[in-house]
Amino acid sequence: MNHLRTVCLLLIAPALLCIVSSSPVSADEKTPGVKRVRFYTAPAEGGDASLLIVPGDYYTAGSPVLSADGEKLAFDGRKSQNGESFQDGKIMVVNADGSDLEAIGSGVMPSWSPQGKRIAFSQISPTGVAMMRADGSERKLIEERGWGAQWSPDGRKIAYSVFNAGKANIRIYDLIEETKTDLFPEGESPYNSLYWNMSWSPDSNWLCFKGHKTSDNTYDVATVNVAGMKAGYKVHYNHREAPYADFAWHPQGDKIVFAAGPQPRQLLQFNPAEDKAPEPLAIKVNGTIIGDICFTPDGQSLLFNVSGTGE
Amino acid sequence: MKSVVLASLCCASCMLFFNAEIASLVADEKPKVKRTRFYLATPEGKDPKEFYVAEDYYNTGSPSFSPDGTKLAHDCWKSQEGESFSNVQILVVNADGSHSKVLGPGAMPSWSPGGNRIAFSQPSPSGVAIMNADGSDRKMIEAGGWGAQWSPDGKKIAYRVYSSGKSNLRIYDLIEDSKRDVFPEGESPYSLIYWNMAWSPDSNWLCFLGRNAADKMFEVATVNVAGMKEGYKVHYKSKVSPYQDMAWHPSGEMIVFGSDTQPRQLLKFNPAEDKPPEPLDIKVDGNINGDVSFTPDGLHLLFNARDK
Repeated sequence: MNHLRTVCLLLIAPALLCIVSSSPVSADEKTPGVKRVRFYTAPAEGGDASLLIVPGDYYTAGSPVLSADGEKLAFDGRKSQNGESFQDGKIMVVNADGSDLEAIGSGVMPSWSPQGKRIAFSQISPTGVAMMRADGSERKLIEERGWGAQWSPDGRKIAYSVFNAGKANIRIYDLIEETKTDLFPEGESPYNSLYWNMSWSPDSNWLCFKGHKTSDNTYDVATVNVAGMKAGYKVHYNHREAPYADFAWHPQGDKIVFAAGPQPRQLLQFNPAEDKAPEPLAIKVNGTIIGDICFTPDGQSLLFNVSGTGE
Repeated sequence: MKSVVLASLCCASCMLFFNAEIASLVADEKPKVKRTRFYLATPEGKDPKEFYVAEDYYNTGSPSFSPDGTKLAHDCWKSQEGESFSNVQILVVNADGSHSKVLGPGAMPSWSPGGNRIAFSQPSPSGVAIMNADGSDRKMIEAGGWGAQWSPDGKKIAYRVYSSGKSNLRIYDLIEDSKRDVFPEGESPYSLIYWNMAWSPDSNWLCFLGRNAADKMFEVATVNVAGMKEGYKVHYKSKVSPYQDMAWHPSGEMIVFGSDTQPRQLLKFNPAEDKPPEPLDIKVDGNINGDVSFTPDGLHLLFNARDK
């Protein structure tokens, strides 16, 4: 989301030059040609992208995630064209056909429960990870100062990052046992920052994340077993330049997609079971890929956000 | 448990004739006093051995092993001191009989899969609740609910509710924080559904005792937790109530419960078959109460019996 702040600032100026009317929540924009964020889909193996949803008056939008039944899309958004900043971020829910867009409350980075009745998210103020019903009611804080909550596919756990004594860690909240465990043993986390929009493996046993290493000032894209670092931990990508902090793990488990590189960003893909470097995933789209990304539950398509005029 | 209340009243009066000071936490308790004891036998009821007595709590029931088999939880009260069901407590003890601890008021404990929490029935105010396995952080799930049982996969807690003169099974989903009833509104056949029901090992079915509202008969039935229309089968029917505690073997192929006869027998049936329940051949020096559970490895049947 911090990267989104930058994107937002770049977007605000041109957006303010436009006459802002209430845009429809569909691919049929009343005011086409406005520079803003839109959601696109493309085949999971890459190819031509097609416009899916224009998120209404929310010109900045990210962290898309489809409900497990594929019927609803949640994302975070703000009216950057009206000067709204990250602090004004809202959790948005819209039907997958673009109808019934609704801001269900303050927050960012929504993550659905398996049946779509609840959403875990990051609360901006006071900062923390929280849950709420899918209609925005009954907000409950899970942990103050936690960040980047992601609900496991089996529903049992919510993962998020915590920061303690100069080290970052991934904490697993078990909804059934009501316990919390850290994946890196105390003092052994290699990371001084762990970023948000991590991704769970389909079997709910692994997490893919981006971390900044204290030791050599580089960035890792790594996977770690949710039973703890000692049960499995692997760095798949290491770079001096920070990749984007959003990961999409294919429902079949054999592909992870993320964005990296200078603007415009490139989508990269790798198989976490192999020891090969991530390879580019070619997407043809008019606009700049931001990097917020997810797979459709059936694994057929990628859904991602793009900044541009939509033309 | 209500049957146990009656038994306890009879027992309490008898107990007054005893010097009830002596009780130990192990099977070699001496001298023997008239009380409830837990026994372990093979799943078929062979070779029963006294397993555990709960110190000063002469009335014990609803035994449940933690999924890792290291702890036993049960409910209990000091019937020898005139206590009744309203005094019921939940007690946890290591499986070797050491380190017993009373967690607080409650009945019919049921472990979460990781053994960190316990679902139970709270006598006052009446309802189903959850607490940590050390007795802390008690949280009510639903006032008026009764007989909470945690599913083996941990995602659900089942209990009995009343609505419009009918009894229903309600499933609380811990992940989605939602509740739904197994029998559609108005379609439950039961005026009363009892407690200590049992989950199938795959967490898809419940076995329970209910009293049919139409013919007043008692039924041991299984129902799919996705709803009655997904599966519902009556396995046993009688005019007199059998005991309400059901134990579902980890293999899924055997359910054991206490008979409606006196002295009580334990009966078994395979829910996948259409055969009537058959008695387990258990020879034990006491009257079988009917509170029953399997060890998590399925190698033993745990049951309680009251001294003759």
